Amino acid sequence: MKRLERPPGATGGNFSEGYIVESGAGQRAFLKALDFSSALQSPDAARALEAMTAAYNFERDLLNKCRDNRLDRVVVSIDDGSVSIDPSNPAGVVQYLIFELADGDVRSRLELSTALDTAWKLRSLHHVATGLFQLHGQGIAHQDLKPSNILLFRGSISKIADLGRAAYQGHEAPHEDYQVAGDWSYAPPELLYGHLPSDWSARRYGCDAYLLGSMVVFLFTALSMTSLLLGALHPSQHWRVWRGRFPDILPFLREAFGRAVDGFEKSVPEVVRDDLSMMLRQLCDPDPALRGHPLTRARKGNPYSLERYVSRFNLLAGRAEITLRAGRS
Amino acid sequence: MSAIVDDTDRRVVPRWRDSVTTVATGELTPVAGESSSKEPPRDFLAEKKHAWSEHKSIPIAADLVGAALVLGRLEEAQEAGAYLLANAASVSPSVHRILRGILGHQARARTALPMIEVEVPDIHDSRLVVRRLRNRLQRDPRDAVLWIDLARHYAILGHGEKARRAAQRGHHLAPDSRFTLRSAARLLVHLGDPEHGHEILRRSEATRKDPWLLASEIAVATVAGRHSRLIKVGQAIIEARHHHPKHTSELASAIATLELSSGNMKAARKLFRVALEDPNDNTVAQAEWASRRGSNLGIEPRHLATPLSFEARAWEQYSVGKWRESLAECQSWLSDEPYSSRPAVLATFLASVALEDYQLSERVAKMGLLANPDDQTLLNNMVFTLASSGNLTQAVQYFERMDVSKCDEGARVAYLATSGLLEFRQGRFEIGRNHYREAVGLAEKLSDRLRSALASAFLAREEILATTSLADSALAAARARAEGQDAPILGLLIARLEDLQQSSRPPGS
Repeated sequence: MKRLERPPGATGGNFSEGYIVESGAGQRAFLKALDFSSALQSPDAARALEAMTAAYNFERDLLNKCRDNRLDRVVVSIDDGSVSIDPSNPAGVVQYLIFELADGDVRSRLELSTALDTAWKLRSLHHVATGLFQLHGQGIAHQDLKPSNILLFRGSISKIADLGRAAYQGHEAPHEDYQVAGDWSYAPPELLYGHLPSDWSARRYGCDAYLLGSMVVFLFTALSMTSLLLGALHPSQHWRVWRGRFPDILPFLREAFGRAVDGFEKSVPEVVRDDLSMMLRQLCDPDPALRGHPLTRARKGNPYSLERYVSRFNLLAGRAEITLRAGRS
Repeated sequence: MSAIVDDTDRRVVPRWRDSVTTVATGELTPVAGESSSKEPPRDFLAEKKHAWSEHKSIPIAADLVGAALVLGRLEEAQEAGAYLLANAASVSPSVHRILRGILGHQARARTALPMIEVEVPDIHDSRLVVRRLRNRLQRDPRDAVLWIDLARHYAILGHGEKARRAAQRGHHLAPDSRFTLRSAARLLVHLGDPEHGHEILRRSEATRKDPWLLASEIAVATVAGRHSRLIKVGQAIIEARHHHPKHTSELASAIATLELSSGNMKAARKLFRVALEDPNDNTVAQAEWASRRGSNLGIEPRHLATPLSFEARAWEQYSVGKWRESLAECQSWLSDEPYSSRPAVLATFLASVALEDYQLSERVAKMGLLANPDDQTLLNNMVFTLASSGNLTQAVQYFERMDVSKCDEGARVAYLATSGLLEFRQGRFEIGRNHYREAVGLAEKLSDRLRSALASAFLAREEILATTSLADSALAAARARAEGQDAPILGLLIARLEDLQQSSRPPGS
């Protein structure tokens, strides 16, 4: 087993270390080890240890659930367990999770080929939408979808990684009460402005829908939806400054959102512009109560279901792949 | 004669600017801290800065700049921002364009209010904006802010019903928003339906708690001839002093105006003092108006320096006879509120009477009449302008659009005088003279010394220009009526008439 160097740009998880490990048969994998030492340095070590253990157990259980249900667009654990690294020290036990080793995250691909072909981007979005749809099918909302959590496998497969900030319907997560469960710099506006929808689906699945839309923006601009949105807003209305209620800022968020999407459209090839723009407007609607596909919303069931987006991205990716192949032949 | 704007009444009716300017004025900032947003529990930016320090690439730089922007710490990502701007164009023109837009917008928005032109607004601009707004609304019909902006441009173009429908959509989508409520109420006042404007303000849940909305409710109620039931609520908010003075400025001046009209000068002065602690342009204009009407509130240069105080400065310069300066402020005021007849009326008066710039006056009148096609004072000023510049045919056409039954008494004085002007210019001196005399008589009956003197001066002008035998006596009468009045415009007119009289005499006489 050897310790993994932190991949370029990886922001890492909480209190964990990454290693590349190799099985006896020579198969390489990624090992995420829980670093208890950081908790021991906390002023309230017992509580920190308890919180870390709870977070680890929560993530492990979700990963096992995903593995058991064969979610093929989610990075699931191959194995988990604990190992004692210092028999004389009761705290010298390391909990670990082992995952399939990825080629890198989606940023590495974007970095290597800024002129990424549209077909690849759309296929990646199809995989990501599928991964979220699979998670939602299990009652799990990811809540921290961002470029560093989209891992690439075998060149063309994108999978969602890191369930460390996920929510599980009907179960209380260790981070249940967080205003923003995941990375604040990608968060949907309602959470930044402190408006936490009381409805679980609106808050959790609504967040995922927004983050999926944000991935569309990222793949075509390298920026997040939230940065485009706040960039279009007057500084006095930025969530760090705004001290009013969310409903009062919402009309201005919507107006800024319209301009942000207009800017985004200019970065998208014409052939998919209308489709992506429409999906983005639905997925990232600043009002979480209106987010998602209008036809899905009109029916019973989860109004944030991503099923239609899975189909749409698949169709768009398929068309783009055919065009690409035709161009090469 | 050109009619001066009737400023016997002024209410603190909210200004209605486009959404970008309104936001920049700060009048939409929350009154109380009601947000429950907290600080991020973890320093996400530090992680991204660390990544950037280890690895310089476009995605990592974009991640850092984006996060810095979202976390409100853009200054900490300057190196990454510069890197992106330097490299993104070659790799991804679209990213470069977006970044330039974002960073440029943020820098501009931080520094200043949008520029207000010192020119007569161009209606073609409004037509283009309408097209652009309609396109955007097709893509997102839920955008309340755009509906209100669209309503404003419809109002500028004189499409009252379209403006009303657009504002209704905006108000329906965001019924408790300060921006939509104040804008919709202002539009309804403009359309002559202040009762409806008052209703929407009165019915909103937000009004009782929001001093900006309370100020509008009280002002619009007065325009509608109603008594606001929220005055006591407003007084309590002012007395409690829980809010920053900028938030209660309009409210204090709205209630001060009520006190003023009830003759309670002491209370009015006290409230105006509160209003001027941290005023906006609307409050400054209100206080300047009250001062001009004898309240002597001690308006200081610092008050007049309040951003966007074009109206107050236009009147201030007018009252000291600085005509060009006043007209420049007036044009800015008109650019700021192109749908409003008041800046157009004052600008046409200044251009046509004080400066004899008939071309400019005609342009302003056209613009004003687009939004206010039925405004009798503007129509009158257009007739005066055209007739004075020799364009009699068009002057008569505009005069035929006038409806004296819609004129208030002050405007009727101007109407009579202007009809006298048209008769004079058509050679019917006696009829013209009679109209002017009627105008003077009506003004005197109204104890309106300024209008009486103005009508008299314009009669003298026509007598002199027509070289009638009554020119000298008409000038003497005008001089007598102007005497003792503290109105620089009369001094200007009399001096000009004396020059005209002098130059019209045969040499040696």
